[in-house]
This record gives sequence, structure tokens and C-alpha cells, in this order.
Amino acid sequence: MNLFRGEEHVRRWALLNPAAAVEGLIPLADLAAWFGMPSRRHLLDDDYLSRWYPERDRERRTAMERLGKATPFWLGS
Amino acid sequence: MADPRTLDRAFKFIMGRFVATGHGPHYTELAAAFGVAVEEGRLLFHDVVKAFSPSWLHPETDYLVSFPPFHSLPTQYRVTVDGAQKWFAQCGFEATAMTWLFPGKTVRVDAPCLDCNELLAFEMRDGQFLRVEPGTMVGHLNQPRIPGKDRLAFL
Repeated sequence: MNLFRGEEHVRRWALLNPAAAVEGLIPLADLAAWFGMPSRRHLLDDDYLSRWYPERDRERRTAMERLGKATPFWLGS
Repeated sequence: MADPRTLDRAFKFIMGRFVATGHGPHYTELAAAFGVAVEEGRLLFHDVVKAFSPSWLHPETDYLVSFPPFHSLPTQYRVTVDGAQKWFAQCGFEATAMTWLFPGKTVRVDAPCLDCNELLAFEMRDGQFLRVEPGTMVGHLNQPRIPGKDRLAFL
């Protein structure tokens, strides 16, 4: 789960998994939207672990659906 | 496993320590803060880590390494707030969540590109990007997700 200066840098990366060369890409703005969902916004709340953390799986699916990435690669099988 | 209220309080203690110092606490500090015996604090420490994936201890120790979005050990994702660089993000993806731990502040993330070793950087405040350099920056997941084994995705 890394950041690169651009798509061509991902393609040149020595440790690239070829199967993830295209499917593994995600724009920075999309990342910020995903990691800006409520379960991240409330990390400082007193009841975070019981109230917000359980939302993460549902949020991941929602985010991936919005981004067109609701695939086994991003969601797990 | 500790009760949910106690887990919430312990989580808050650990996360607050990362925000304040850039590092997680030792379990003895958790025990002291909660007024419990050392062993009870150690078990509570483990309970929080188990309950909050993907966080983890250094293998075969009780030392907290990763507590997303923070990481006690240096990673390539250096986080600067108010001119102080004392935090590391667990990964590039979690780096974009750092903004929520420092409300009202500009959070800067600097990292080398793993291809060319040239720097990339972005700044956020309250979830909004203030600066991205270069503008072509992208995220990348190199391995398919395996639920329950999210640590593998950091490779």
C-alpha cells in the first residue's frame, strides 16, 4: 500500500507484482475519499473501537463500489 | 478479552500517545494509567491490538509496532505537523488518514518514491488537500487483499 510519483513509476518498480500493475492503481484523491470515511474521521472519539471501528468493512465495500473497484483483488474473496 | 468500555478507554490512551509523541506506549504505562497490575495491563494491551486490525506487536515481543495510521518504527512515510517531524504512517494509504488525528492543523507527508527515490509530498488540513507534489502521484496495492491478513498488503 504505497505511493509513487506516477503510474510509470509503479510499472518500473523492482518489486511490482505484474498482476497488480493496473488493477492495483488508485488515484490519490480516491484514497483520501476512502480514508476520509467516518471510521477514520472519528479516531479520536472516546467510543471509537466499539462504535466506529466495526464500520470499516462496510465502508471498504462502499468505497470500492463507488470507485469501481468492488473486485476480489480489493475486497478479498 | 476486556469489556468494550475498557477496550475503548485503552484504545484512546494508545492513540493519544501516538498523537502526542509519535510512538506507542509500553504496556506498563497502560497498566499505570488504568491503575491495574502490570500483567493485567499487558493482557489489556494485547486485547486492544487484537481488536484493532491491522495493528501489530513486534514478533515474539510485547512491543507495539503498528497502530494505524501510525507506525512506531520508521517507514518511508514521514509525517510533519507544526514543523515537527516525529510521526510515521503505517503505509501510503493510511498516510492520507493522518489529517483526522490533527484537526485544524496542516499535516505534511513526505516520502521517497520506491521506484526512483525522488521525493513525493502532500499536505492536508481537515481532510482537504492543500498541496500535492507531483500532481501525478498515485497509490498502489501490490497484492490482492486477504481478509484478516491485512499485514500482507504492506509488502
